[in-house]
Amino acid sequence: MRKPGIWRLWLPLVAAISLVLIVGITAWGNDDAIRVRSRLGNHIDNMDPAHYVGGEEYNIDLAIHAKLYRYKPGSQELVLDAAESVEISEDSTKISFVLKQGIQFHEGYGELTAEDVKFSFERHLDPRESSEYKDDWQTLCRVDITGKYTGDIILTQPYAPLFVSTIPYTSGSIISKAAFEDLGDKFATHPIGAGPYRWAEWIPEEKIVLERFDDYFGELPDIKTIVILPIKDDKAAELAFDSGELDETLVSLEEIGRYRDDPNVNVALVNNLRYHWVGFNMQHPPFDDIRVREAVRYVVDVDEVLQGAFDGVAPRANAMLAPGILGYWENAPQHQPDIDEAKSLLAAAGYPDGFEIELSAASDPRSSLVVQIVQQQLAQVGIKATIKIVEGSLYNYVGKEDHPGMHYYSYSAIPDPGYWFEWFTCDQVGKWNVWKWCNAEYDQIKDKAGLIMDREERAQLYIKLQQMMDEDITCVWLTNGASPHVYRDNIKPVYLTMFSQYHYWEEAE
Amino acid sequence: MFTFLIRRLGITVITVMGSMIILFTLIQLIPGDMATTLLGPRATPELVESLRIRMGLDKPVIVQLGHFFYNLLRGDLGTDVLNHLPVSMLVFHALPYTVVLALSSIIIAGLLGVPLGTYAASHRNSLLDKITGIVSISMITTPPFLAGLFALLIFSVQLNWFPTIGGGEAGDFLDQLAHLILPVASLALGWVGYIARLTRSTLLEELNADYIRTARAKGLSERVVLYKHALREALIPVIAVVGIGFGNLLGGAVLTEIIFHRPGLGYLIFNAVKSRNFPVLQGGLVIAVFLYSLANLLADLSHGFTDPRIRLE
Amino acid sequence: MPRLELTLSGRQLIWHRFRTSSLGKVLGQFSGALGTILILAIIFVAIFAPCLTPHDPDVIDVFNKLAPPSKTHLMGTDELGRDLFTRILYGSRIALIVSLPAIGIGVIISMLLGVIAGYGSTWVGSLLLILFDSVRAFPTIIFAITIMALTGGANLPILIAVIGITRFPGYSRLIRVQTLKVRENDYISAAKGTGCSYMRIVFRHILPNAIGPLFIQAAMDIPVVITIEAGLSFLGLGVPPPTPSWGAVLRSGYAYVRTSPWMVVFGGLALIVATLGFTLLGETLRDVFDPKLRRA
Repeated sequence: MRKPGIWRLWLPLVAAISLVLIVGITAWGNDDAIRVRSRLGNHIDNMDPAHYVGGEEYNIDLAIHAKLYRYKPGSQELVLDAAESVEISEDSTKISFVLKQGIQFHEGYGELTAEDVKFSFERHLDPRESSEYKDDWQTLCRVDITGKYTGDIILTQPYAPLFVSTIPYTSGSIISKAAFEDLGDKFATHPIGAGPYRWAEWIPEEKIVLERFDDYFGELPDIKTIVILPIKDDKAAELAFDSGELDETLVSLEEIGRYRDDPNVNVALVNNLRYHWVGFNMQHPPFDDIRVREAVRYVVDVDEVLQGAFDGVAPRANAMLAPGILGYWENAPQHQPDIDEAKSLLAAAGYPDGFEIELSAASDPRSSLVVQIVQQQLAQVGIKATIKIVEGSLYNYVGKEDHPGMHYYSYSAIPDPGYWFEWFTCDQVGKWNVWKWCNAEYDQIKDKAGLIMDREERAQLYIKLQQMMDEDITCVWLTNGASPHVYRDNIKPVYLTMFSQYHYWEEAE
Repeated sequence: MFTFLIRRLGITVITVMGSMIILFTLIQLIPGDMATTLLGPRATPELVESLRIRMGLDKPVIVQLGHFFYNLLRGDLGTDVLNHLPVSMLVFHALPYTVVLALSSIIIAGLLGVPLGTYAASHRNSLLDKITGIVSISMITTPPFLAGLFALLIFSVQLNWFPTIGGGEAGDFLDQLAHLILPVASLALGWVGYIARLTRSTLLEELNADYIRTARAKGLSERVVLYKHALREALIPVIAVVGIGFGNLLGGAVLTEIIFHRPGLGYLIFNAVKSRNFPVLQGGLVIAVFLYSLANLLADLSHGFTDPRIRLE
Repeated sequence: MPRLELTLSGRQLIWHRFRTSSLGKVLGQFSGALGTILILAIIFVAIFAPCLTPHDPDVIDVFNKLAPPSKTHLMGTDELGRDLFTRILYGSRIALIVSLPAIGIGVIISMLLGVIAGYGSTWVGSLLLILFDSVRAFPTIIFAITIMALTGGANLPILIAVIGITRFPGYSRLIRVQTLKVRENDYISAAKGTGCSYMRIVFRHILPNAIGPLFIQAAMDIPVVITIEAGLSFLGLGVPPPTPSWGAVLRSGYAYVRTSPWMVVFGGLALIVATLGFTLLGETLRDVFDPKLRRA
C-alpha cells in the first residue's frame, strides 16, 4: 500500500478533463446573432401569457405573439396586427374582429383562426387557469365565433383599459390552441405564437434564443437571431458590454456620463413605467398624524436623493403618473425642503425631539442608497431611522404585514393609467396598499374612471386622484425612474417605454 | 474494511437527511413566501393560495418532509413551480460548472503547490524558501472572493484579457476554458500556498526520519531519497488535504461563482434563496450537502486507506 | 536547569525565562511577532478610530461621491460621498465585534453540547453527533447565506448567531473527545464515588483539559470568521447598511470597480492585513502549544 501517493493525482486529473469534455457536448454557438441583456436581468420563469412573472417575458411576448392590434414602434398608437379589421360597437360592449387569412403559427401548428382568439382570451377568466392577469379581461363575457376568421368579443360593460392595454399587450396575445393542448405544462417553457420571432432555444439561467420566423404573415424583422442573457448585476452587464459580449443592455445610471462620452456607444434613455416613493404606514403613529407626514415631506430632499441614488439622471416626479401617460398631472406642486417648518410641525404634533422609526427597503443596491440618504436627512429633525433591508419580498413586510414606520418602494405599471391607481384602494390594505391608506372617495372615482371611454374625462378624474394623494400626503414622490440602455453601432433598437420591441429592431451598417 | 465503508456511507446518508430536516424546519420559520415575491401586484390572495397548494405548502411540515425524501429516493428533486421544470434538470445543468471549477482549482493548486513546497524543503532556508514562505502566507490569507475581485479588477477590467461573466458557450471548449481561468486562479491561490507549506513541512519531517537516514547511509542519491521515499510519505496528508479542499471548494466556490456570474450550483442556490424558490433551493442544497459529505468521506477514506491508525477511530 | 541559572546574570535570567515561557516562544518566532504586531495594530485602530480621522463614517455627501484619494479624503470617497479611510478604520471594529462574539457563541454552545454528548448516555451522544455532523454537512458559506437570506436579510445579531452556529460542531467534537477521555479516567470514577457533583467534574476536570486545543482552534478560526462576515456583507446579507464593514466596502467597490477601484483595493488590503495577522498568530500558537495539530 506504499504505492498510491503521487500517481493518485492522475485520477482526479483524468476525471477533470473528462468532466470538462462532458460539459462541452452541446450545440455550437451562433455568431451572427445579436446578444442582449434580459429586461432587469431577470431570467424567464413562465412563458404562458396567463402566468407571466415579469421581466423579459414581456419583451419576448411582444416578439413572438400576434395580437388583434399592436403598438407601433416606440409609441402607444395602435396598428392592426393579426386582425384585418376591428369594429367597436356604439356602446363599447362588443368588439367585432375579422382576422387576416393565412397567418401561420410557429413550428407547423397550423393557421391562426377565431378559435385560437377565443381560446386565448377566455382562458384568462378560466378559474382552473387562475391567471394573474384576469383583471385585464374583467368585463369579458365571452368570445363568439361567427366564422373561421371572424368573431365578436362580448363585454358586460365598457372597460377602457381593455382597448388600450389588454388587447395590444401581453394579455391579448393569441396563442395556438392546438399547441397548448399538445404541450400542456411544457408550453410555459416552449411557447408557440404567430409573431415575427419564434422560441428557438432556452437554457435555464443562461440564455434564451429567438429566431426570425420566416413564415410570418407580416413584414419580416431585420435581425435574424436574438440571444437574450439574464445578467442580474448592472455592473456585470456593463463589463460584458464593454468587452463585446453584449450588443445592447440596460446599464446603471451613474455610467451614463462615461457612455455618452464614448463615440462608439449610443445611449437611449428609455422611459420607465415605474413610480418610486418614500412612504409611510399611515395606520400607526406617528404617521397617522398628517402633520408628521407633512414634516417628513419638508425634510426629505428629493433632489439630493435623486443625485445620490439616481445619479441626477432620473427626472423628478411630483405625482404618480409619468409624463406621456393619460392623466399626467403637469402642474403638480413641487415640495421643497424646509427644516424649520418641519421642526415646528413636529413640535405641534407632539414630537419636538423627534422619534425613532424603522425605514425599510428591498435588498437591491439602489434601495440601499436611497434609505441611507433619507436616514441622514431625517436625522436633521431628530428622527432616528433604523434601516431594515428586507430579503425576499418587501411586499410581505410592508404590505401583508403591519409594521409601523417608513419605507422606500417602487411599483411597475402598464401603459393604462387605471392600473397605476389600482393598488391604493381600501380593499388593497393588507395587500399592495403599502401606505395603508383608505379613502372612500378615491375608490369611487377610480372605479368610475375605468368605465369612461372619453379620454379627456378620464384624464381629469386621474388628476383628481393624484390631487387627493397630494392633499392626504400619502407619500413623498421621488421619480418615475429612467432606464439607460446602451447599444453598439451595429444595431438600432426600438423601445416602447421600457420594453424592447425586438420586432422593429434594425441592423445598422 | 468493507464494514467501515458501509458504516461511513450510512453515516453520510443520515447526515444528509439530518441537514435536510434542519433546512425544512428553517424554511417553515421564515416569513414571506415565493408566490407574492414573484407574482407581483397582480397576485390576489386566491392566486397565492392556489400556488401554495400546488407547491404543497399547505400541508404540515412532516408530510412535506416525507414527500421530499420519498421523491428523493425516486430521483425526483421536485419541480420548479413557476416553469414546471424538474429541479434535477436545473441542478444537474449547473453542477458541471461547479465541479469543474472546484476540481481544476484544487488540481492546479496541487500541481503548483507540491513542486513549490518540495523545492523549498530541499533548499531550506535559502532565499527562495523564505520568499516562498512569505508568498504562501499571503496567498493563504487572501480570501478567494477577494482574490476573485482583484483578478476581475486587474485582468478583466483594466487589461481586458479575460471575459467577465458566465461559464462560456456550451460546446465551445476554448470559450469555456477562457471563462474558467480567472475563477480557478482566484480559488487556487489560497490552496497553492497551503499545499506548498504543508508539503514543505511534512517533507522536512520525513527527511529527518530514521528510514531516510538509512537510505542515505546506504548511499542512495539525494534525489532518489527525496523523490522515491520522502515525498511519497509526505504526500499522504497532502492528498487528504486535496480531498478536503475539493469538498471545501464545492461550497466555497459560491462567492466566486457569484462574482464571475458562473452558472454553477452555488449560483443556483443563491438565486433560489433570494427569490424564495424553495423547490430549487431544497433540491440544490440536497445535492450540495451530499457532494460535500461525499468529498469529506472520500478524504477520510483515503486517510484511512493509507494510515491504519485513523481507521480505528 | 539549575546549572544554567547559576551562570546567568539577573537580566540574562529574566530574558531566558521569558524566552522559554510560552509567550516568549510565541513572540520569538517571526510569524508570531508579526502576527501579534498586526493584531495589536488592528485593536488599536478599532479602539482609537475616532481619534485617527476627522470624519464620521456615516456622513453622506452625495455631491462628492466616488472622489479619488486626495488630501481631505486619504482614500477617496464611496458611492455616497463618505470618507473611505474612515470607513476602513471603523471596519476594524466591525470585524472584531462580529467575529469575537460569534466564536464566543460557538464556544459556549459547544461546551454545553459537547459535554452532554460525551458524558450523557450513548443514544443522546449519538443523536448529538448526528446534529453536529448535520450542521457541518452544509458548506459554511452556503449555510450562512441561506439562513441570512431566509430570515429576512442583513441583521447584526442574527449574523453573529449564524456564524457562531457554523462553528459549534467543530468545537463540540473537540470537547466531546476530551469529555470521553476524562470519563474513562479512574480518577473520575473515584471522584464520582465520593459524591462530587457533575458540574464540578465538568469544570475542574473536563474543561481545563479541553480549553487548550479549543482555544487554539478558536484562535485559528478568527480569520475564518472575519472572512465569512466579509463575504456575507459583500453579498448584502451581513451587516445592515450603513455599517462600515470591510465586506460592505467591497460590495460598493465591486459595483463601481470600473470607475473607482480604490474601494476594492483598500477594502481588500484591510481584510488581508487582518486575516494575515490572526492567521500568523494562530498558527504560531498552534505550533508552540500543540504541534500534533499540524497534520490536520
